[in-house]
Amino acid sequence: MAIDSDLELMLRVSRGDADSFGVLLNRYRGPLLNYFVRMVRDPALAEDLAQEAFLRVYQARERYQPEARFTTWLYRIATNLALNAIRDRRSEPVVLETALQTGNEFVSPLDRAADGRPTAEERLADSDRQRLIRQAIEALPEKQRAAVILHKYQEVDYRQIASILKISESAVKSLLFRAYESLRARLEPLLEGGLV
Amino acid sequence: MKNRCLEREQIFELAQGMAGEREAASRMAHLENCAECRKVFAGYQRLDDVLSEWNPQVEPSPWFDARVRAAAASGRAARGASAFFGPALHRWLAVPVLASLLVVVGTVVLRHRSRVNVPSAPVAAAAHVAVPPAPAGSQPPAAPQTGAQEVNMYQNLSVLEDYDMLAGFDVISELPKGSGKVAD
Repeated sequence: MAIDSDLELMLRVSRGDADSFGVLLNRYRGPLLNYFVRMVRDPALAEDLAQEAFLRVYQARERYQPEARFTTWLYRIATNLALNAIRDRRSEPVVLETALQTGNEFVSPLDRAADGRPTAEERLADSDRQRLIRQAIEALPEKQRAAVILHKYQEVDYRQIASILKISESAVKSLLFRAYESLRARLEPLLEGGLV
Repeated sequence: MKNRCLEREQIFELAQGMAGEREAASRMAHLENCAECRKVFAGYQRLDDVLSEWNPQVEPSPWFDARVRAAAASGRAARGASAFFGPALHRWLAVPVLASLLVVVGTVVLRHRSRVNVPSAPVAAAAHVAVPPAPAGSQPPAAPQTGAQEVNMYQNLSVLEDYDMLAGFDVISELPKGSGKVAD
């Protein structure tokens, strides 16, 4: 059975096909949730935002114009939601640390060494590295952060990013270059093999 | 003679696959002969590898789809109670809630204090001492001065520590704010 394209599915949704919306939901809830987690960090808020993004897609189904890719439209909605949430929560304290750094799974440190999985020390060093990377990305200005996350982690093409952020393609290249230069400076200890 | 080195931004675009086909080919050709530019290129690749280590895998909750479908069916916002009563709302509610709390606590404390400081009979009598009338023909002293004298008279009485009670007396209530040691 052929896999329906996002565009076909969205056109069916716009004609009132709820099952097609379910397929899109199933296809993109994971990537979208991870996008929001990287953008706002708090998993509970990320899930709320991901649900809100899908709801907005559904609510706007009749106005959907198949001019751009579905993912461009989806990530534009998501990026607007994420940037608004970041502005709302700018003064809020940090909610989540360990769950994101180490994953949700809990295994006793004593269990690890025996079965070849990372020891407690290894996990600690690993979480230190991940924390540094996360902090470096979070320190970027909002648009640079969104561009880096879309480009690096969501594998969105820079032309699509231009459409999502409503800037020119050359501006996206420049935005990403500045972001990577900042990241290079902030992550120098990791690049030189420190904090292994 | 070696070609002039590439700009960092050009090398970055190459490393990120953002250079056009022709530019990419010419930049790659340059890299083959330029150790300096190759080093910069490798630096961007290393940075990319480091960034890949940040991998917060979060799974959607089991009720993710159900909540979206329910919200879509009812036409309301999908964000649940946790979002509705989220930080933004907390921030806006904090001021009126704190203000109300302060008013309630203040009222309770004042009532408690006024009950504890019920004046004994002699003190109450002293508190009701009338201001002596001014001699005939003399200029009546200004009200604030009279008030200040009254305060000097009674300043050793414990009842005077309760400003709220004293504020009920005409003489004291005429005191200009800040004169005398009435309030604690």
